[in-house]
Amino acid sequence: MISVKNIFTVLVALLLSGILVTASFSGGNSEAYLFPRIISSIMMFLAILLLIFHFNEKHHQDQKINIAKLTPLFILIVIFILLGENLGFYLSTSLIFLIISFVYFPEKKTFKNILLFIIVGFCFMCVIYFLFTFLLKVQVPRFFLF
Amino acid sequence: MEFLYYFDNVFTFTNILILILGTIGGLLMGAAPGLSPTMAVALLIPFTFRMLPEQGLIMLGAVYTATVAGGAISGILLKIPGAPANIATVMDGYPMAQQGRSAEALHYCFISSFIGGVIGIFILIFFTPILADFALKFGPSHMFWIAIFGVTVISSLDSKSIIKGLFSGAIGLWLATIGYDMILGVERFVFNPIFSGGINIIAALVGLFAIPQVLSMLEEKKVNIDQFAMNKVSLLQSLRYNLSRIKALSIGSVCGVIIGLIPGAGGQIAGLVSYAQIKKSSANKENFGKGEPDGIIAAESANNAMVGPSLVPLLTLGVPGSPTAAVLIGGLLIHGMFPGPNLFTIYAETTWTFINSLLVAQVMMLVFGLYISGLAKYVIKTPPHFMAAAITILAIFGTYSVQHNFYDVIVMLLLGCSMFFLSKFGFTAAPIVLGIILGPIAETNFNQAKIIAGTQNGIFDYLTSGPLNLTIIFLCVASVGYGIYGDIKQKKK
Repeated sequence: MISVKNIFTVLVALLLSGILVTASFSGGNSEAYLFPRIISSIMMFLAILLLIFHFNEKHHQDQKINIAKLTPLFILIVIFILLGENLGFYLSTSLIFLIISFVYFPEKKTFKNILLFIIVGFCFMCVIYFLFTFLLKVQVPRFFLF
Repeated sequence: MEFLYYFDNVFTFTNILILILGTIGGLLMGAAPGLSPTMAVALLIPFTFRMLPEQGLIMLGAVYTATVAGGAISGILLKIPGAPANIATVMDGYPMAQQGRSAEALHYCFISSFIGGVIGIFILIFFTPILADFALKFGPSHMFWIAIFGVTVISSLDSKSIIKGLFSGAIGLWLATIGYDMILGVERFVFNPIFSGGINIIAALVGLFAIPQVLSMLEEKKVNIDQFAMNKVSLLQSLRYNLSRIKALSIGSVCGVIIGLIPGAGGQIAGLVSYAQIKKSSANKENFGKGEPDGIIAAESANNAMVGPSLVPLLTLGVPGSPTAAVLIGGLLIHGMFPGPNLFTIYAETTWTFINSLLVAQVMMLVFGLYISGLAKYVIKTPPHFMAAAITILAIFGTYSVQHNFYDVIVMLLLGCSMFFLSKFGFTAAPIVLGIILGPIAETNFNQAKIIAGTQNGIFDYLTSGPLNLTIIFLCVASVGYGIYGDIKQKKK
């Protein structure tokens, strides 16, 4: 669990607007970059306002992010981005379904529960296949047959 | 009375089937805690891509209507509002359920939603053409300010802090500039081939609304679900009582219509304002919060009366009346339809069929809502890990199906994860989405204004002269001023 302090908000806003201002003003054609330059400058102004208000505010509320709990999902997303197209959508998303169900199941994992995850996952993937491949005729990346 | 001319278009076999499926699906999605109307509409937009424009819009409209009403089911039965629009319903709905009067509460909810909804759609039918005619007078400078107004108004109403709201809107406007400049054809900010085509609107919509919800669902601790016994009550008796509560119905409907017409306000504000008003004017103030039916009637008629009017500024000016309406623009753009007067000239048949279908959707919402509310308790019990896995997969397939491009899926996932962290820092998704949608409109009109102004007294003079420009600029400033006032009021508390 990490705590998000209010100053982080200001730093994120400053960093983000700094990056966007740099990107907008380092572009070549000034005519084409005029609009993004105006927008990124407004963002920088708003980030500075956030900084000023941060120091004037007495009570700051911290937010919590349960990073440890979400790490498996972030790893899954990264793996999907890297391998999803090669593994095929049906195989990779079936694995996503099973892993999310298994990792985030709050109770003790018994054989019966795992069987339930597989059955529910299979039924859900059948619905997805029916909707996208059969009904909407979407050609998704495939691995061997699926 | 142009709408009557296209009324029979709704009653084709396919359209009715879509309406039924959209209504039932919407009610169930609304009942599922965590699936907000905005997310439901965002997830469905890719499905509508392969449909005819009117069929796609009918589906989205039915889902929008039904999810707003369906959100009350979990609110009444579990004290977990299915959507922000149902927060006020919970205040008296849940105490009624605790008293064993959940069936009665659900009856009031759907009957009031129907009455409020029908009033709202008639406002949409009669107000939209008037505003659309007026929009014909708009030139590039006015359209530029209207786009900016859309961003400022949603930033001030959908965020806890006006500065963070405006910052979110600016992020969206900046993201919209990625890709090719529409007038000069110059490539901008394409650091990776993923971004060569710019940010796909559907990928942004699905990512910004669905993925943070998935992450929040999995992050939260398990919610203990207690359900109370559902007594049997005669529908006719509920109907009679509901219709006798004219004051609650009128307050709810009027508040819903007014708040719906205000760009960016949304159902949550409509429900809470009408609840506060009926409580203030009631002789039984002390009963509110303990299971007073008037609380449900006012809140539910308001949040559904808001649906129709929230589409008035959307269809005519491209400025949405609620965050869900903002997402609905994606449903128009995916079929190459831009909000504005063209919707009532070139696309009149599609637009009027869509509006008429909203009226029929209200009837379906009432009929199916009353019968599905019993079934919805099973959907409510869907474990969060199954729900999260299902939403993730739907988001992946839905995003891919639009352009058959894996990069869109990557953009969707990256934007979604970033939005989750940004939301922890107090930023919201609706202004970013609206920035992405209105960004090209703002930039194109700004560039056109620049060209026109080159022959006159300069861009500043062109953008700020004339009563219409000044009025819209005043509205922009007023919306920001309102946000600042809200911030100050919140800090004093």
